[in-house]
Amino acid sequence: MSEFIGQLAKKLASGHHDLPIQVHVGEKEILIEVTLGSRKQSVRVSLGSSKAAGGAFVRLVSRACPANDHRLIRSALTTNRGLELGSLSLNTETNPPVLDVVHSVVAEGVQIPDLLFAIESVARLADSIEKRIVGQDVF
Amino acid sequence: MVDFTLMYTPDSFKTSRALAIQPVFAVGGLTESMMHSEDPAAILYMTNILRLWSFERTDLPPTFVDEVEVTELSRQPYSIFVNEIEINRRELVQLQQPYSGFEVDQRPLSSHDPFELIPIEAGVFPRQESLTTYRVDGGEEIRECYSCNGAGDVPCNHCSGGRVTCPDCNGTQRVNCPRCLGLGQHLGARGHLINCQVCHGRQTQRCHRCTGGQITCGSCSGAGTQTCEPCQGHGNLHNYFQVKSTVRVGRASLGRTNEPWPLEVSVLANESDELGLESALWPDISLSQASIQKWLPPELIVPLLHFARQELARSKAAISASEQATGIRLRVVGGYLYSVGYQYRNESKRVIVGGIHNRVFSEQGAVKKQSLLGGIKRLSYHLVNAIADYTPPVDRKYLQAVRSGNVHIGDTRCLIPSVGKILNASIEISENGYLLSLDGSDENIVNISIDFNAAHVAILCLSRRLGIAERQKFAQAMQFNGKLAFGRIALSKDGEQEFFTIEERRSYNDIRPDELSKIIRSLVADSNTILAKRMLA
Repeated sequence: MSEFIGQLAKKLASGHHDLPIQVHVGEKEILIEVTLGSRKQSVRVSLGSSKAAGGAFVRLVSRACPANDHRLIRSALTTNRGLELGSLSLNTETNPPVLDVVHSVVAEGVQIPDLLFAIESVARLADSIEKRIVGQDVF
Repeated sequence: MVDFTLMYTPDSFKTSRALAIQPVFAVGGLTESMMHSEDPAAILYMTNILRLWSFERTDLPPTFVDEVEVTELSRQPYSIFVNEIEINRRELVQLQQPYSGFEVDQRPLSSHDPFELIPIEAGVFPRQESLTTYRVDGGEEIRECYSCNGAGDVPCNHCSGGRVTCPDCNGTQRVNCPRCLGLGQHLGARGHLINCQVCHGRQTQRCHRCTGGQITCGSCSGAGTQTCEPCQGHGNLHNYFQVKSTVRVGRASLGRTNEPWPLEVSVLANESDELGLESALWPDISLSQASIQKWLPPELIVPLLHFARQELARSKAAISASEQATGIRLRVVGGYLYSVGYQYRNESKRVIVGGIHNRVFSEQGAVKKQSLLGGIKRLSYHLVNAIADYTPPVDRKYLQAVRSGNVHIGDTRCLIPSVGKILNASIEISENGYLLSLDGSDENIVNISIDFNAAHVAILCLSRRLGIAERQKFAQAMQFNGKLAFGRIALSKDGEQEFFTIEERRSYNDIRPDELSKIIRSLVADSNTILAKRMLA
């Protein structure tokens, strides 16, 4: 586990914030379970690096719903146009393929309140899609 | 409330678009009623517009920039019907050209009506009057040249028999002696007048240029005749017909607002968003109500059609027998008008701001350009402030940068020029924001605009078009989104065509310049890879 992720996990788990979360620290990522009313949504937090971006970024991924229908793909691409935060992406490494909500934050100088806001936004977006498409709280 | 007794007129002041106050307008907005706004972003932008406007006015002193306060803001939509009627004027003219023996089409003309001879190309709606000529089939004939009666040449009109009077001696065959200039005497070596040594006192000498007082005519080289001009020496003329078609467009516009504010809103016709267009072309130039109903609110259909029909009837009544109305095009454009109440030095005034370039309509209308005295007043004001170490309550850096065209009016933080410096990129102000070019090339251009969400929070929107979106690439595009460090691939529409774009949105007020520069760099690099490897093509 990278030192950065370790420190991030500590800060997120410290509880000096209002967002109801549970933090699980894994080998290469942090798994955060966000409580959204009666529903829960998981957000994976990991560290990525991009040469073009000139450094590291914190990656947030939250699973929204299975993506079996091609109409869902078109709809997701159109939704991406107006999204204020995050992006819908197709993950084909799973069976069936799933729709994830992903978002990145520049790692250098990242502020915990900003990161928590991003985590909550990603969780809310993924959960709202899941609610609309699947109905049940699966992810 | 707006004073109805005075007419508000605009001056030449314009800004680029600030989406906070002039969002992209859609037909649905036309049914909005007038509403008051207390949105801080709208008030801030409007105050900045008034500040920028004051720089161009001699009737507003330098202190206005610091002290003006927007006290009331209300908004209503406006619409403008722009009616264009295409008028085609036609004329059948007979022309002549020298006939050199080619084949001619002697069949009779199929008609003498120029509108029947050449099919009408309706719907061009040129910006300026345009003239096109069409050669007509048939009606051609060969006639003996009227000028030379078939001879091919005519007597030279400069001479008689190929000779003209010598211009040097005027036909006298004698010219003044060049030594004594016709005096017969000149000064000798000792300074006394002596008889001319050349003409021996005769004062003249023989003209060497001519013979018998005449020279050969330069125009006909002595032939005495010249080539007949109309037939170019062929002796015959070829007569043929041509249709001259002149197309012009008569334009009229009618502005409408729900609340009757005292301004001529139609001046904003070219500074508004297009909401819809209907056209009808020759031969049936009547507009279809059924078609308009699909996009225009019902309450506007009747006035729109009434206006269009009135204009068409007016145009038809004004056209001559050689003209035809060949097309009608009706555009509906619209946007928002703001009534802005402001206070300056305990005096309350009002202006109306409207259109995508934020034209300011005031009671005073246009004022003269800044005078030298006004300039000196401003300079002395700033000098006094500088000496007194006075910090004005306004970000003058931003105002000056907007004035000098370096910052978009929506970029109150001057964020993008800062990012441009970090990236060593060139930036250009666009309608809604900026075009940022990473290495000065036309290929690596990112569109940057500042929009506002439903909660009136400023959102920075970055986008770059990746190409036409093919359906079979949709899934692939969605997979890329999981691999991009920043941004996402989205589907956008331009007319009927769908495009893939890579875009990113961030909160304008929260993002740091260094953070944004990293995101832009990543966005450009990823989109370059997608384009170079034709991943979505």
